[in-house]
Amino acid sequence: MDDMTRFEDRFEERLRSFARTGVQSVDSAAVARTVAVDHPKDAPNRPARRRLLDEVHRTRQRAVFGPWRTRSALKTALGAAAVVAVVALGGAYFVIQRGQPAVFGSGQTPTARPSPTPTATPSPTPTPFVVPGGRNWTVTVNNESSDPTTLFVTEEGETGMGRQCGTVTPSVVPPNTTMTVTFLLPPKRVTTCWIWVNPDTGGGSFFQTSDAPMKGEFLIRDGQTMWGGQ
Amino acid sequence: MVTMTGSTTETSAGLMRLAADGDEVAFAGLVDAHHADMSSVCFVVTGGDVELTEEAVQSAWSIAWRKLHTIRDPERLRPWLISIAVNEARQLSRRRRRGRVLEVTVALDPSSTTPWDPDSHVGDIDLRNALAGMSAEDRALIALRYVGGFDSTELARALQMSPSGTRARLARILGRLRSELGDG
Repeated sequence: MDDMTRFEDRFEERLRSFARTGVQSVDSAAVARTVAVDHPKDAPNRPARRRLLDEVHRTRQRAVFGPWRTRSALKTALGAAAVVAVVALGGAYFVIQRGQPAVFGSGQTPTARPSPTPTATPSPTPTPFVVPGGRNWTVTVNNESSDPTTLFVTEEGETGMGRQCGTVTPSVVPPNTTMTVTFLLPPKRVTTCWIWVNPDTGGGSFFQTSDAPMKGEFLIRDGQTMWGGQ
Repeated sequence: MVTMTGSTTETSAGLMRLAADGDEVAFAGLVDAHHADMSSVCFVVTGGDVELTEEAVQSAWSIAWRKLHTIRDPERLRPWLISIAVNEARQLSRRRRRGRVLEVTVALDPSSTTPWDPDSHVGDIDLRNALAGMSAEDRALIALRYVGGFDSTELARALQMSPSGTRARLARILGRLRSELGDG
Protein backbone atom coordinates (compact mmCIF):
# COMPACT_ATOMS: atom_id res chain seq x y z
CA MET A 1 0.00 0.00 0.00
CA ASP A 2 1.59 3.31 -1.05
CA ASP A 3 1.57 6.57 0.91
CA MET A 4 -1.22 8.10 -1.12
CA THR A 5 -3.47 5.09 -0.60
CA ARG A 6 -2.80 5.21 3.14
CA PHE A 7 -3.62 8.91 3.16
CA GLU A 8 -6.81 8.26 1.21
CA ASP A 9 -7.94 5.63 3.72
CA ARG A 10 -7.30 7.90 6.69
CA PHE A 11 -8.93 10.84 4.95
CA GLU A 12 -12.03 8.77 4.18
CA GLU A 13 -12.33 7.81 7.84
CA ARG A 14 -11.97 11.43 8.98
CA LEU A 15 -14.44 12.73 6.41
CA ARG A 16 -17.06 10.15 7.31
CA SER A 17 -16.75 10.97 10.97
CA PHE A 18 -17.10 14.66 10.16
CA ALA A 19 -20.09 14.01 7.89
CA ARG A 20 -21.97 12.15 10.61
CA THR A 21 -22.00 15.29 12.74
CA GLY A 22 -24.20 16.97 10.14
CA VAL A 23 -27.04 14.47 10.35
CA GLN A 24 -30.08 15.93 12.10
CA SER A 25 -33.07 13.88 13.16
CA VAL A 26 -36.12 14.44 11.02
CA ASP A 27 -39.84 13.81 11.26
CA SER A 28 -40.26 11.79 8.07
CA ALA A 29 -44.05 11.97 8.16
CA ALA A 30 -43.87 15.74 8.39
CA VAL A 31 -41.50 15.91 5.44
CA ALA A 32 -43.85 13.76 3.36
CA ARG A 33 -46.84 15.80 4.43
CA THR A 34 -45.20 19.07 3.53
CA VAL A 35 -44.08 18.04 0.05
CA ALA A 36 -47.49 16.55 -0.63
CA VAL A 37 -49.22 19.76 0.39
CA ASP A 38 -46.79 21.87 -1.64
CA HIS A 39 -47.01 19.65 -4.71
CA PRO A 40 -50.29 17.72 -4.75
CA LYS A 41 -50.40 14.82 -7.19
CA ASP A 42 -53.32 13.75 -9.32
CA ALA A 43 -52.39 10.13 -9.69
CA PRO A 44 -55.27 8.05 -11.04
CA ASN A 45 -55.20 5.56 -8.19
CA ARG A 46 -54.92 8.12 -5.48
CA PRO A 47 -57.59 7.41 -2.87
CA ALA A 48 -60.32 9.99 -2.72
CA ARG A 49 -60.16 9.93 1.04
CA ARG A 50 -56.61 11.26 0.91
CA ARG A 51 -57.78 14.31 -0.98
CA LEU A 52 -60.30 14.88 1.74
CA LEU A 53 -57.62 14.45 4.39
CA ASP A 54 -55.46 16.94 2.51
CA GLU A 55 -58.08 19.58 3.09
CA VAL A 56 -58.79 18.58 6.67
CA HIS A 57 -55.14 18.58 7.73
CA ARG A 58 -53.76 21.30 5.52
CA THR A 59 -53.87 24.13 8.04
CA ARG A 60 -52.83 22.06 11.03
CA GLN A 61 -49.98 20.25 9.33
CA ARG A 62 -48.39 23.31 7.80
CA ALA A 63 -47.05 24.25 11.19
CA VAL A 64 -45.24 20.94 11.59
CA PHE A 65 -42.40 21.83 9.29
CA GLY A 66 -42.45 25.55 9.76
CA PRO A 67 -38.89 26.47 8.79
CA TRP A 68 -39.16 24.68 5.45
CA ARG A 69 -42.33 26.50 4.51
CA THR A 70 -40.81 29.75 5.59
CA ARG A 71 -37.84 29.15 3.34
CA SER A 72 -40.12 28.13 0.49
CA ALA A 73 -42.02 31.36 0.87
CA LEU A 74 -38.77 33.28 1.02
CA LYS A 75 -37.53 31.51 -2.09
CA THR A 76 -40.73 32.39 -3.92
CA ALA A 77 -40.37 36.01 -2.89
CA LEU A 78 -36.72 36.08 -3.94
CA GLY A 79 -37.64 34.39 -7.21
CA ALA A 80 -40.26 37.02 -7.90
CA ALA A 81 -37.76 39.75 -7.06
CA ALA A 82 -35.23 38.12 -9.39
CA VAL A 83 -37.78 38.11 -12.21
CA VAL A 84 -38.39 41.81 -11.70
CA ALA A 85 -34.64 42.47 -11.60
CA VAL A 86 -33.97 40.42 -14.73
CA VAL A 87 -36.77 42.13 -16.62
CA ALA A 88 -35.53 45.54 -15.52
CA LEU A 89 -31.90 44.80 -16.35
CA GLY A 90 -32.83 43.13 -19.63
CA GLY A 91 -34.84 46.16 -20.66
CA ALA A 92 -32.01 48.52 -19.81
CA TYR A 93 -29.51 46.34 -21.65
CA PHE A 94 -31.69 46.20 -24.72
CA VAL A 95 -31.95 49.98 -24.81
CA ILE A 96 -28.17 50.34 -24.58
CA GLN A 97 -27.51 47.72 -27.27
CA ARG A 98 -29.88 49.24 -29.76
CA GLY A 99 -27.61 52.25 -30.23
CA GLN A 100 -24.46 50.20 -30.83
CA PRO A 101 -23.21 48.69 -34.09
CA ALA A 102 -23.19 44.87 -34.34
CA VAL A 103 -19.51 44.12 -34.82
CA PHE A 104 -19.20 40.59 -33.52
CA GLY A 105 -19.17 37.27 -35.36
CA SER A 106 -21.78 34.56 -35.35
CA GLY A 107 -23.06 32.84 -32.25
CA GLN A 108 -26.12 32.44 -30.15
CA THR A 109 -27.04 32.86 -26.54
CA PRO A 110 -29.75 30.74 -24.89
CA THR A 111 -33.07 32.46 -24.55
CA ALA A 112 -35.43 29.77 -23.25
CA ARG A 113 -35.50 29.48 -19.49
CA PRO A 114 -38.08 26.91 -18.44
CA SER A 115 -37.77 27.48 -14.70
CA PRO A 116 -40.91 28.91 -13.13
CA THR A 117 -38.74 30.94 -10.77
CA PRO A 118 -35.74 32.06 -12.80
CA THR A 119 -32.70 33.23 -10.93
CA ALA A 120 -30.62 36.25 -11.74
CA THR A 121 -28.23 34.46 -14.09
CA PRO A 122 -26.59 36.05 -17.13
CA SER A 123 -28.94 38.37 -18.91
CA PRO A 124 -29.77 37.69 -22.55
CA THR A 125 -27.30 39.12 -25.02
CA PRO A 126 -29.09 40.41 -28.10
CA THR A 127 -25.90 40.67 -30.19
CA PRO A 128 -23.72 37.74 -31.30
CA PHE A 129 -20.79 36.88 -29.09
CA VAL A 130 -17.15 36.68 -30.06
CA VAL A 131 -14.75 34.11 -28.61
CA PRO A 132 -11.08 35.06 -29.16
CA GLY A 133 -9.24 32.04 -30.54
CA GLY A 134 -12.51 30.13 -30.43
CA ARG A 135 -12.94 26.59 -31.71
CA ASN A 136 -16.05 24.71 -32.76
CA TRP A 137 -17.24 21.46 -31.24
CA THR A 138 -20.30 19.71 -32.66
CA VAL A 139 -21.89 17.12 -30.43
CA THR A 140 -25.17 15.22 -30.09
CA VAL A 141 -27.65 16.06 -27.36
CA ASN A 142 -30.16 13.31 -26.62
CA ASN A 143 -32.93 14.85 -24.54
CA GLU A 144 -35.08 11.96 -23.34
CA SER A 145 -36.83 14.06 -20.73
CA SER A 146 -40.21 15.70 -21.00
CA ASP A 147 -38.75 19.16 -20.48
CA PRO A 148 -36.63 21.30 -22.82
CA THR A 149 -32.90 21.17 -22.20
CA THR A 150 -31.06 24.47 -22.09
CA LEU A 151 -27.31 24.82 -22.65
CA PHE A 152 -24.97 27.64 -21.68
CA VAL A 153 -21.25 28.35 -21.86
CA THR A 154 -20.16 30.56 -18.99
CA GLU A 155 -17.65 30.86 -16.21
CA GLU A 156 -18.63 29.96 -12.67
CA GLY A 157 -19.99 32.95 -10.80
CA GLU A 158 -20.70 33.63 -7.17
CA THR A 159 -24.38 32.86 -7.59
CA GLY A 160 -24.26 30.20 -10.29
CA MET A 161 -23.41 31.03 -13.86
CA GLY A 162 -20.92 33.83 -14.38
CA ARG A 163 -19.61 35.69 -17.40
CA GLN A 164 -20.35 34.22 -20.80
CA CYS A 165 -17.27 32.62 -22.36
CA GLY A 166 -18.65 30.76 -25.37
CA THR A 167 -21.79 30.02 -27.34
CA VAL A 168 -23.95 27.08 -28.32
CA THR A 169 -26.25 26.81 -31.31
CA PRO A 170 -29.01 25.87 -30.87
CA SER A 171 -29.13 26.44 -27.14
CA VAL A 172 -32.44 24.70 -26.47
CA VAL A 173 -33.18 21.06 -27.24
CA PRO A 174 -36.91 20.31 -27.17
CA PRO A 175 -38.32 17.46 -25.06
CA ASN A 176 -37.84 13.93 -26.39
CA THR A 177 -35.57 15.15 -29.16
CA THR A 178 -32.09 14.22 -30.32
CA MET A 179 -30.16 16.85 -32.21
CA THR A 180 -26.64 18.07 -32.82
CA VAL A 181 -25.51 21.36 -31.36
CA THR A 182 -22.37 23.34 -32.10
CA PHE A 183 -20.38 24.93 -29.34
CA LEU A 184 -18.03 27.82 -29.91
CA LEU A 185 -15.52 27.32 -27.11
CA PRO A 186 -12.46 29.23 -25.94
CA PRO A 187 -9.00 27.70 -26.53
CA LYS A 188 -8.13 24.56 -24.55
CA ARG A 189 -5.72 26.48 -22.35
CA VAL A 190 -8.67 28.34 -20.83
CA THR A 191 -9.72 26.40 -17.71
CA THR A 192 -12.30 28.77 -16.28
CA CYS A 193 -15.02 28.18 -18.85
CA TRP A 194 -17.80 25.61 -18.28
CA ILE A 195 -20.61 24.02 -20.21
CA TRP A 196 -23.83 24.20 -18.22
CA VAL A 197 -26.90 22.06 -18.70
CA ASN A 198 -30.30 23.04 -17.27
CA PRO A 199 -28.86 25.28 -14.57
CA ASP A 200 -32.30 26.58 -13.64
CA THR A 201 -33.95 23.23 -13.17
CA GLY A 202 -31.60 21.24 -10.99
CA GLY A 203 -28.66 20.92 -13.39
CA GLY A 204 -25.45 22.86 -13.27
CA SER A 205 -21.93 23.10 -14.61
CA PHE A 206 -21.37 19.96 -16.63
CA PHE A 207 -17.69 20.00 -17.49
CA GLN A 208 -14.88 22.40 -18.27
CA THR A 209 -14.61 23.43 -21.89
CA SER A 210 -10.91 22.56 -21.69
CA ASP A 211 -11.98 18.88 -21.50
CA ALA A 212 -13.65 19.17 -24.91
CA PRO A 213 -13.66 17.72 -27.47
CA MET A 214 -14.57 14.31 -26.12
CA LYS A 215 -16.14 11.36 -27.87
CA GLY A 216 -19.70 10.76 -26.80
CA GLU A 217 -22.99 12.55 -26.39
CA PHE A 218 -25.11 14.36 -23.86
CA LEU A 219 -27.95 12.30 -22.45
CA ILE A 220 -30.67 14.00 -20.40
CA ARG A 221 -32.84 11.50 -18.58
CA ASP A 222 -34.67 11.25 -15.24
CA GLY A 223 -33.95 14.88 -14.50
CA GLN A 224 -30.21 14.28 -14.78
CA THR A 225 -27.62 14.97 -17.41
CA MET A 226 -25.15 12.23 -18.26
CA TRP A 227 -22.27 11.88 -20.62
CA GLY A 228 -22.33 8.78 -22.80
CA GLY A 229 -18.74 8.12 -23.80
CA GLN A 230 -17.75 6.06 -26.81
CA MET B 1 -50.01 -0.03 4.70
CA VAL B 2 -46.34 -0.58 4.00
CA THR B 3 -44.70 -3.45 5.77
CA MET B 4 -40.94 -3.54 6.06
CA THR B 5 -40.56 -7.23 5.31
CA GLY B 6 -38.95 -9.02 2.40
CA SER B 7 -35.74 -7.98 0.71
CA THR B 8 -34.54 -4.41 0.83
CA THR B 9 -34.87 -4.10 -2.91
CA GLU B 10 -38.43 -5.37 -2.90
CA THR B 11 -39.35 -3.04 -0.10
CA SER B 12 -37.66 -0.15 -1.81
CA ALA B 13 -39.38 -0.92 -5.09
CA GLY B 14 -42.74 -1.11 -3.35
CA LEU B 15 -42.20 2.15 -1.53
CA MET B 16 -41.05 3.81 -4.74
CA ARG B 17 -44.11 2.67 -6.63
CA LEU B 18 -46.53 3.77 -3.94
CA ALA B 19 -44.75 7.05 -3.32
CA ALA B 20 -44.68 7.83 -7.03
CA ASP B 21 -48.46 7.41 -7.01
CA GLY B 22 -48.78 9.95 -4.24
CA ASP B 23 -48.74 7.76 -1.14
CA GLU B 24 -47.37 9.91 1.66
CA VAL B 25 -46.80 7.02 4.05
CA ALA B 26 -44.63 5.29 1.49
CA PHE B 27 -42.79 8.53 0.82
CA ALA B 28 -42.16 8.91 4.54
CA GLY B 29 -40.62 5.45 4.42
CA LEU B 30 -38.19 6.63 1.76
CA VAL B 31 -37.36 9.66 3.88
CA ASP B 32 -36.66 7.38 6.83
CA ALA B 33 -34.39 5.20 4.74
CA HIS B 34 -32.35 7.86 2.95
CA HIS B 35 -32.44 11.14 4.87
CA ALA B 36 -29.32 10.44 6.93
CA ASP B 37 -27.25 9.47 3.88
CA MET B 38 -28.37 12.58 2.01
CA SER B 39 -27.65 14.82 5.00
CA SER B 40 -24.17 13.48 5.68
CA VAL B 41 -23.09 13.92 2.06
CA CYS B 42 -24.60 17.41 1.85
CA PHE B 43 -22.93 18.41 5.12
CA VAL B 44 -19.56 17.93 3.45
CA VAL B 45 -20.68 19.67 0.25
CA THR B 46 -21.74 22.74 2.23
CA GLY B 47 -18.44 22.73 4.11
CA GLY B 48 -20.10 21.87 7.42
CA ASP B 49 -23.04 24.27 7.29
CA VAL B 50 -25.97 22.70 9.15
CA GLU B 51 -28.52 25.21 7.93
CA LEU B 52 -27.56 24.87 4.27
CA THR B 53 -27.50 21.11 4.63
CA GLU B 54 -31.00 21.05 6.02
CA GLU B 55 -32.26 23.36 3.30
CA ALA B 56 -30.62 21.33 0.54
CA VAL B 57 -32.05 18.03 1.73
CA GLN B 58 -35.51 19.46 2.21
CA SER B 59 -35.39 20.89 -1.28
CA ALA B 60 -34.21 17.53 -2.59
CA TRP B 61 -37.18 15.75 -1.06
CA SER B 62 -39.48 18.19 -2.76
CA ILE B 63 -37.89 17.45 -6.14
CA ALA B 64 -37.93 13.72 -5.44
CA TRP B 65 -41.64 13.80 -4.68
CA ARG B 66 -42.33 15.41 -8.05
CA LYS B 67 -39.93 13.32 -10.14
CA LEU B 68 -39.97 9.95 -8.44
CA HIS B 69 -42.04 8.49 -11.26
CA THR B 70 -39.05 8.89 -13.59
CA ILE B 71 -37.03 6.29 -11.66
CA ARG B 72 -37.78 2.70 -12.57
CA ASP B 73 -34.88 0.78 -11.09
CA PRO B 74 -34.87 0.57 -7.26
CA GLU B 75 -31.08 0.21 -7.35
CA ARG B 76 -30.88 3.71 -8.81
CA LEU B 77 -32.94 5.29 -6.06
CA ARG B 78 -30.20 5.95 -3.50
CA PRO B 79 -27.69 7.51 -5.93
CA TRP B 80 -30.51 9.47 -7.55
CA LEU B 81 -31.68 10.93 -4.25
CA ILE B 82 -28.17 11.74 -3.10
CA SER B 83 -27.35 13.33 -6.45
CA ILE B 84 -30.37 15.59 -6.24
CA ALA B 85 -29.46 16.63 -2.71
CA VAL B 86 -25.85 17.28 -3.71
CA ASN B 87 -26.94 19.43 -6.64
CA GLU B 88 -29.09 21.49 -4.31
CA ALA B 89 -26.25 21.80 -1.81
CA ARG B 90 -23.81 22.88 -4.53
CA GLN B 91 -26.15 25.58 -5.75
CA LEU B 92 -26.94 26.84 -2.27
CA SER B 93 -23.24 26.89 -1.38
CA ARG B 94 -22.35 28.88 -4.46
CA ARG B 95 -25.07 31.43 -3.79
CA ARG B 96 -24.02 31.94 -0.21
CA ARG B 97 -20.26 31.87 -0.73
CA ARG B 98 -19.87 35.61 -0.98
CA GLY B 99 -19.94 37.45 2.30
CA ARG B 100 -19.94 34.41 4.51
CA VAL B 101 -17.59 34.32 7.44
CA LEU B 102 -16.08 30.96 8.14
CA GLU B 103 -17.23 29.83 11.52
CA VAL B 104 -14.55 27.62 12.94
CA THR B 105 -16.24 25.36 15.41
CA VAL B 106 -15.49 21.94 16.69
CA ALA B 107 -18.01 19.45 15.41
CA LEU B 108 -18.73 16.59 17.77
CA ASP B 109 -19.77 13.25 16.37
CA PRO B 110 -22.90 12.26 18.34
CA SER B 111 -22.33 8.61 17.56
CA SER B 112 -18.80 8.66 18.91
CA THR B 113 -18.17 6.82 22.16
CA THR B 114 -14.55 7.84 22.51
CA PRO B 115 -13.51 10.57 24.97
CA TRP B 116 -12.90 14.10 23.69
CA ASP B 117 -9.47 14.26 22.17
CA PRO B 118 -8.00 17.75 21.61
CA ASP B 119 -5.63 16.51 18.89
CA SER B 120 -8.37 14.93 16.83
CA HIS B 121 -10.51 18.05 17.10
CA VAL B 122 -7.70 20.25 15.94
CA GLY B 123 -7.74 17.86 13.02
CA ASP B 124 -11.47 18.52 12.56
CA ILE B 125 -10.81 22.24 12.35
CA ASP B 126 -8.06 21.62 9.80
CA LEU B 127 -10.47 19.50 7.80
CA ARG B 128 -13.17 22.16 8.01
CA ASN B 129 -10.74 24.82 6.83
CA ALA B 130 -9.55 22.62 4.00
CA LEU B 131 -13.15 22.10 2.90
CA ALA B 132 -13.81 25.83 3.13
CA GLY B 133 -10.94 26.46 0.73
CA MET B 134 -12.39 24.15 -1.90
CA SER B 135 -15.09 24.84 -4.48
CA ALA B 136 -18.53 23.36 -3.93
CA GLU B 137 -17.88 21.12 -6.94
CA ASP B 138 -14.73 19.67 -5.42
CA ARG B 139 -16.45 19.16 -2.07
CA ALA B 140 -19.27 17.40 -3.90
CA LEU B 141 -16.79 15.07 -5.54
CA ILE B 142 -15.09 13.97 -2.32
CA ALA B 143 -18.41 13.83 -0.44
CA LEU B 144 -19.96 11.52 -3.00
CA ARG B 145 -16.85 9.37 -3.23
CA TYR B 146 -15.91 8.98 0.42
CA VAL B 147 -19.20 9.56 2.27
CA GLY B 148 -21.72 8.47 -0.34
CA GLY B 149 -19.56 5.58 -1.52
CA PHE B 150 -20.12 6.35 -5.21
CA ASP B 151 -17.94 4.57 -7.76
CA SER B 152 -16.44 6.45 -10.71
CA THR B 153 -19.41 5.73 -12.98
CA GLU B 154 -21.91 6.95 -10.39
CA LEU B 155 -19.70 9.96 -9.70
CA ALA B 156 -19.59 10.85 -13.37
CA ARG B 157 -23.35 10.58 -13.66
CA ALA B 158 -24.01 12.59 -10.50
CA LEU B 159 -21.53 15.35 -11.28
CA GLN B 160 -22.20 15.37 -14.99
CA MET B 161 -18.59 14.78 -15.89
CA SER B 162 -16.78 12.08 -17.79
CA PRO B 163 -15.53 9.14 -15.65
CA SER B 164 -11.93 9.85 -16.64
CA GLY B 165 -12.34 13.52 -15.81
CA THR B 166 -13.80 12.56 -12.46
CA ARG B 167 -10.85 10.33 -11.60
CA ALA B 168 -8.32 12.96 -12.63
CA ARG B 169 -10.06 15.63 -10.64
CA LEU B 170 -10.27 13.41 -7.58
CA ALA B 171 -6.55 12.71 -7.78
CA ARG B 172 -5.79 16.43 -7.96
CA ILE B 173 -8.00 17.16 -4.95
CA LEU B 174 -6.42 14.38 -2.90
CA GLY B 175 -2.94 15.62 -3.70
CA ARG B 176 -3.86 19.10 -2.58
CA LEU B 177 -5.54 17.85 0.60
CA ARG B 178 -2.54 15.75 1.48
CA SER B 179 -0.27 18.76 1.35
CA GLU B 180 -2.75 20.82 3.40
CA LEU B 181 -3.63 18.22 6.01
CA GLY B 182 -0.37 16.36 6.15
CA ASP B 183 -0.39 12.59 6.06
CA GLY B 184 -2.86 12.29 8.91
